[in-house]
Amino acid sequence: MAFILGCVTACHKEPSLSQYDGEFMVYTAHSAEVSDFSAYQTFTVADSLLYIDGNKGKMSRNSWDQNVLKQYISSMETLGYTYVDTGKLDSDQTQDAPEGDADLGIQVSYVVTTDYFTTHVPYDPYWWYGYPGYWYPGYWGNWGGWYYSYPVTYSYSTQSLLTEMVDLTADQGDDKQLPVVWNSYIDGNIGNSRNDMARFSRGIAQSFAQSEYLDIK
Amino acid sequence: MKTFVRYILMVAAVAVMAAAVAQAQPGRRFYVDAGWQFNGTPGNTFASSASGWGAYVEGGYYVLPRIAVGAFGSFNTNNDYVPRMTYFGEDGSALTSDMVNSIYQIPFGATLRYRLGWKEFQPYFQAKLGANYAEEYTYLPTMALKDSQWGFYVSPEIGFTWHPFHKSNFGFQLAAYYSYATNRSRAFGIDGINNVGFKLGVSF
Repeated sequence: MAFILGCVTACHKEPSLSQYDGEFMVYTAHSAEVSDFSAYQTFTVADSLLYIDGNKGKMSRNSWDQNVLKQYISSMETLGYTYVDTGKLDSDQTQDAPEGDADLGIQVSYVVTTDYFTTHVPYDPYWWYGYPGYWYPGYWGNWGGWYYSYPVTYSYSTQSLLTEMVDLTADQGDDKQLPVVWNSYIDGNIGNSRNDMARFSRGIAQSFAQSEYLDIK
Repeated sequence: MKTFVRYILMVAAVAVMAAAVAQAQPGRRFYVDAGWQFNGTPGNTFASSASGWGAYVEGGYYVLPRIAVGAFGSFNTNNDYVPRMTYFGEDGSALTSDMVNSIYQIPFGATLRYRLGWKEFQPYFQAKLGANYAEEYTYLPTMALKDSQWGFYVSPEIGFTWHPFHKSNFGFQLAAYYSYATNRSRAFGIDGINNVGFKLGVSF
């Protein structure tokens, strides 16, 4: 019996990281209530990335971040959407919500570390509930909370990219929720550097490639 | 009552005869074998591979010169790399990744061994019967999905032990086996696990 108990914990051979091809894992999901994205014509992208680091979040707008956001803009335009620049600076959270006419809003978060999420009990679907500095619905307009119509089942690790697309055409009000209609999660082996833009770029491209329903052309 | 007494006497006679014969056998009546095990999982749609990440230990007692009963335990991991591809869920979700599917088995139970000789070279047939604890994993680059379950285990085996040293029970063992376990995993589409392999070790 000691042999059995010992083996359960000690004898299992786990695969080596060198066995993987080194590319990022890409997960995407969309709202069950939105089957036809052609109802949306325009979009905007938050001009900064939210860095999730330990137990705090902060906005960042360096050149790497800008390259990431530019790819989201170009990818959406390729799918047939029209980009709207709202002129809002995300680093200035005292600024009013954007006043553009975008139908969709895209917010991108870069997970530096996972300390917070790995110790946090998720409240499905509000798995980020209470995370200091996280995106807040009021950023996009007059909404009182987030709304997911599909389960968010993934976990988080270092050097991962989390993207959410929100429906800015939804009814607003303090008692209204802002629907998240699409999200992607791009994650890689520990040790990947965010400076590896080429690999992240391939991951972003894959997130759109496997979401054919976003194509409204 | 007469039938019952007759039955008792017959059992006693057989027991005495068996003990007498057992006393007549050469060498020790106990044995312990242990070593390395190479295992394959042919025909498995989840993880079909062959690997040497395994070991075994078994021991027994010769109740007759040729027949031993005992116990065994072993473990094996079989990993199967799956190249990058995209998987689509019914809810419209999609996952693109490469991954490694893994089956980790720990069978253990009872053995019944029949040996053809008891000198230096001892070929034998062996049947193993017991339980198989199995864990299945899908290893994505940064996370893993897991399932585990128990199953019944049966395994025929053929092999030999070789004891080349004079007045010593120490020797070597080589054997080949097939096994089938009834483990099922709905999550990973497993309905039974076939194994074939060989084991190489020492015998005491």
